[in-house]
Amino acid sequence: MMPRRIMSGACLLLLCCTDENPDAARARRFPPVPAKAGFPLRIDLPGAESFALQQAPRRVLIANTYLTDVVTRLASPERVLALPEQALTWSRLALVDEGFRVKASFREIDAEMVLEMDPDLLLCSDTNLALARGRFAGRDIPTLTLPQPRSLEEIRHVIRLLARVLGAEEAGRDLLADFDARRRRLQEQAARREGLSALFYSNLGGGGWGTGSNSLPDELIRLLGMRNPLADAGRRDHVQLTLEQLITYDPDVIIVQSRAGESEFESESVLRREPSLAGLKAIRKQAIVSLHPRLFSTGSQEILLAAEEIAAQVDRILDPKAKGR
Amino acid sequence: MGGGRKPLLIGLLLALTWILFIGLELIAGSDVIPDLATALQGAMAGLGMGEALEGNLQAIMELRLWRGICAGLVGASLALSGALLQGLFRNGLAEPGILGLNAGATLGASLAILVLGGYGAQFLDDPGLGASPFLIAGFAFVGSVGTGVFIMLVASFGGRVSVPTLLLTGIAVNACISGLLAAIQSAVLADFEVQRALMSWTWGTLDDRGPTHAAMVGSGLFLSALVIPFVAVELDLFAAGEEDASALGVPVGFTKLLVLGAAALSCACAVAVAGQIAFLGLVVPHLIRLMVGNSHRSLLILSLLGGAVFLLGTDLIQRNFFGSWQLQPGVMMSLIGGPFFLYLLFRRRRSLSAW
Repeated sequence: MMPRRIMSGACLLLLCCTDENPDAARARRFPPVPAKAGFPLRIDLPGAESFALQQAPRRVLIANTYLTDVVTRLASPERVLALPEQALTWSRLALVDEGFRVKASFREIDAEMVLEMDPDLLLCSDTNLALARGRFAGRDIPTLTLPQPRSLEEIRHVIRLLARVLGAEEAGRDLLADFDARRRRLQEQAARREGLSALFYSNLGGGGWGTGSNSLPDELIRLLGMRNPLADAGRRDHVQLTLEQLITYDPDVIIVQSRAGESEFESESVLRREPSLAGLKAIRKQAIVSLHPRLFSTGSQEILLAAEEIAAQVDRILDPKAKGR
Repeated sequence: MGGGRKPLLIGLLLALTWILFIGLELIAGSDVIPDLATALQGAMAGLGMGEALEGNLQAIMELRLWRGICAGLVGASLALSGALLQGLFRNGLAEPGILGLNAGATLGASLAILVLGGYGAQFLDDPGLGASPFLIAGFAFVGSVGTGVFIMLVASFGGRVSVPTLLLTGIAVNACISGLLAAIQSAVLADFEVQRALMSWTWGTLDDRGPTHAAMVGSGLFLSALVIPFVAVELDLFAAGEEDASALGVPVGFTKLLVLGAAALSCACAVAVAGQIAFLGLVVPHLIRLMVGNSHRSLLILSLLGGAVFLLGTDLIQRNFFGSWQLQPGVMMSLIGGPFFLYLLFRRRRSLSAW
């Protein structure tokens, strides 16, 4: 019995370590989009569980920032019960109001608060273990648990799924059409940046971090026609990056977070002040692209804002005459 | 071989290994692997002697040189601190963490990271404060020393430091600081960049160290090592108890303060530079004790040398065999040191029970 268990464990471990087909990965991580629009709606979740709604939800409780980005584009404010407090700073609601900012917000949420608010749909992330199973003191509250997307296709999948769950087919189609058009535009302009290497870098003085393959930042770099030297070196996800490694990769462009005047000590100032980095191509050519951290950390359609901003800044660096464009 | 020569030979061997490991640090690391002559030329140029290498190679060699120097000094400081505290408390489980020094440094560094992340008061946001890495080290040092002094003040009564009260105060203050750290992490949960910076500092790091870091940890170690001739024999006499030591003419109160001050200073400087590196201050003095016995005249200086070799060796293993995994020194230390220490305890449990 035991050797078989060990063998199964080893096989599972091997599977996890092997690069998976993107479609298979999406099918494993996300629930499928129901084939038919309308209600009653039923979705078979991974693990032989199912999620059912008799009618379009009217009391939606959102417990995650990236889901706030998507839902606030699909549903009207009166259908949303409450939002996470962080979403007011870290989602699109930092820039727009649209009637959502007056909604009740919470810093942390637990089962007792969920029961008190009595939503007819709870949307949460898979990291919120207390809520993810959707069982609250024996009461079932329809709960849809979605992980953080790691690719643009996974973001599309989330939009399609939530549009169907919220009964917002038209808003979903509009959002997808806008998403695809912007993505296509970026792809069409990618050739002008071909051959450049770019690297996401973050350092608040306590050590550097970069982003390898299997991540949204890597997909953005490739979408813009550039290559990611960290991904080329076989590094995956968010990884620690020493100054020595940064010098070894010597990218043409470094993309950093900028807190827009909130602090002088940003990744960019670390890069500019560190004497050992003075010889880097990106430092010599002043090819440092700054983005607000909200755009770095989102897993929603808003990530295209980051891509557009990077494209604009890189193009200005490559061709200073393009400033007015 | 005479008993008096064995510590000397071990000391010589450890010192040579320390130098050898710094040399190996120069040719280990990322994809750039220069030959030894080039590496040495880069290192000498980094110290202001000789001609610099071309392009980015010089910068890489300098980063490796300072990493190696800092690793050795941090290891030496933590091991010396552990050996001093084990002697003072007459307890093999004593280590710098019980004085709250690690926790205090982490609290200081976390506050600095919050300031860097834009959460501090405006006046702290002045670039004139200096380059950010030193702000973190400075805050960590103040946090570490401040916590150590606070614990010692609470534990002393009528000019005497009570060891049991000191241990209990250390436990209570560590618990309070853990709560504060958890509150800070919870407050910035949504800020990915700040959260990540907090996390990586608590793992301990030897990455991206420079001459200022080396100067900081080096001066702490130098000042702490100066007390060794004044406390080594006294700590040997402490083994029979404070009253016996006092009867033999040991100035108990003064010795305790000297030992605590030296242990706190060396540990605070090390933690301020490299973050939390658990286990080293506990395990190295034990390893040395197994080789040369309990006499603090050899134990303290050999622990200093052994700590340097141990941390440098661990760092070399990490960089050569686990490079892409990016295991931090604190993690590596626990993964390697823990099982090794258990093995030694198992092998030598009879002789150790008498200590």
